[in-house]
Amino acid sequence: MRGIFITASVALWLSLLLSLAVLQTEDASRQVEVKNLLATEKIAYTWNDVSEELPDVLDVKIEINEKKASFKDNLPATANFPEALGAFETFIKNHYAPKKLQFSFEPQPSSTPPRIHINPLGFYYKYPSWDKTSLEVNSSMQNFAFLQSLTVNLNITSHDFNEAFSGLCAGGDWDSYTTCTGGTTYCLSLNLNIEDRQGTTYQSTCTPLDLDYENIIVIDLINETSTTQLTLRFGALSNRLFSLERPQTTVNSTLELNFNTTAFEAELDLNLIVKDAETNRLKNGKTTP
Amino acid sequence: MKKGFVFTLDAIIAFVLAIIVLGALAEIRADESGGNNRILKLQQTSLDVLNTLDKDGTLNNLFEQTDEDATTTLETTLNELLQAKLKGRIKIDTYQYETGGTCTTCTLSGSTPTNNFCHCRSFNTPLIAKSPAASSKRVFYYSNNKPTVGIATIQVWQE
Repeated sequence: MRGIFITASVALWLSLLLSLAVLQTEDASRQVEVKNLLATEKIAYTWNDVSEELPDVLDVKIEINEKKASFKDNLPATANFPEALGAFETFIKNHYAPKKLQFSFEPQPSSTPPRIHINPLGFYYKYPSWDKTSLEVNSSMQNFAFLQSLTVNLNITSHDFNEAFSGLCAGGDWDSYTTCTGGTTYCLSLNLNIEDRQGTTYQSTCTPLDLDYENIIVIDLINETSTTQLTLRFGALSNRLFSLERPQTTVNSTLELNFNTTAFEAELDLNLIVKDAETNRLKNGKTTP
Repeated sequence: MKKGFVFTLDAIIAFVLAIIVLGALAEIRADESGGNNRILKLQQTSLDVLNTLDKDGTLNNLFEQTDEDATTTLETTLNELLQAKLKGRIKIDTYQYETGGTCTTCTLSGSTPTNNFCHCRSFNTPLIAKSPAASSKRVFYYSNNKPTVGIATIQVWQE
């Protein structure tokens, strides 16, 4: 009898020790799990935070609202953007990011500015150079079918109109204008509004545009010291939807692209990589403003 | 019989002790888990508050305000955003890019830039955080004429 009780007692204590060991192991694995979870959350949050600030660095505001993508911009550049982007990267690495997180942009922004991609519709909002003297919206022509209308609002803050508008399209205010016909492949519904420094407005009634042809409107401008021109082009050149060239003028522009779908997002053509050195977890993707 | 009684008693005591120890361990684990969940919830709240302040433009507007006005703005907004039993403290630090090697206007951390940035401003809402508090940070970019960047640090705790 004695043996049975001693055995039972020892068995109880052993089972207690075993339970403790199991609990301890569970705790250890749970701690690793929590650590990985927190690292993942920190990477994702930091990636989103930095990514959302990048349009501010480029001085462009991007808004997606249902079927509409709008871009508010200031031309030309008032800052040295590669320097500003480099400064922001330096700041993130040295003043903001947790020590264990590593940051990098890919490719390193250098000669050409990153494009803003309307994904998956294939439209690109881009600047040919960092000085933002011009801007373009491009896409493969078959993607033009996604576009319902384009609104271009320009506020010229440095010059006034140096011409009288007739309200006529072909042979009038427009240097080249082709309206849509039965044979038109891609037809663009355009709202174009331009305001000069004094608040005088020009609202184009020339719509729709046949994008198989190049449609051009050149606006003559003047101020106290110079005369210049603002040139807008729509269509014809391969992949061009719209371009704006503005030598020597200051323009606040708003472009609204109205699509026939809500299934799209804007992303900067620049990969941001955030990596946790301790857990080797990382997030690598195009930044989505 | 006496010996048998002692052994039975020994076994019962061992069993009771084992149950007590296991119960205590389970209780401690439940407490730890509850505490972790509370902190995680506070952490999520702190991230949400900073996200809102950034998205609605509050953080960028602080650059246009004096430290005093900015503190009042933050205090008011924080009270609006946090649930009744939660309290928070926000600290703002702003920095300006400087390549010249000397800080001229932003000299809060001395006249030598740290990694090309000079410390311009630092202010915070008045409450002192109580433990346990969750803490989060958010960066916000103001101007690229002379790159100016801010960091908002928030602590949230339960009263």
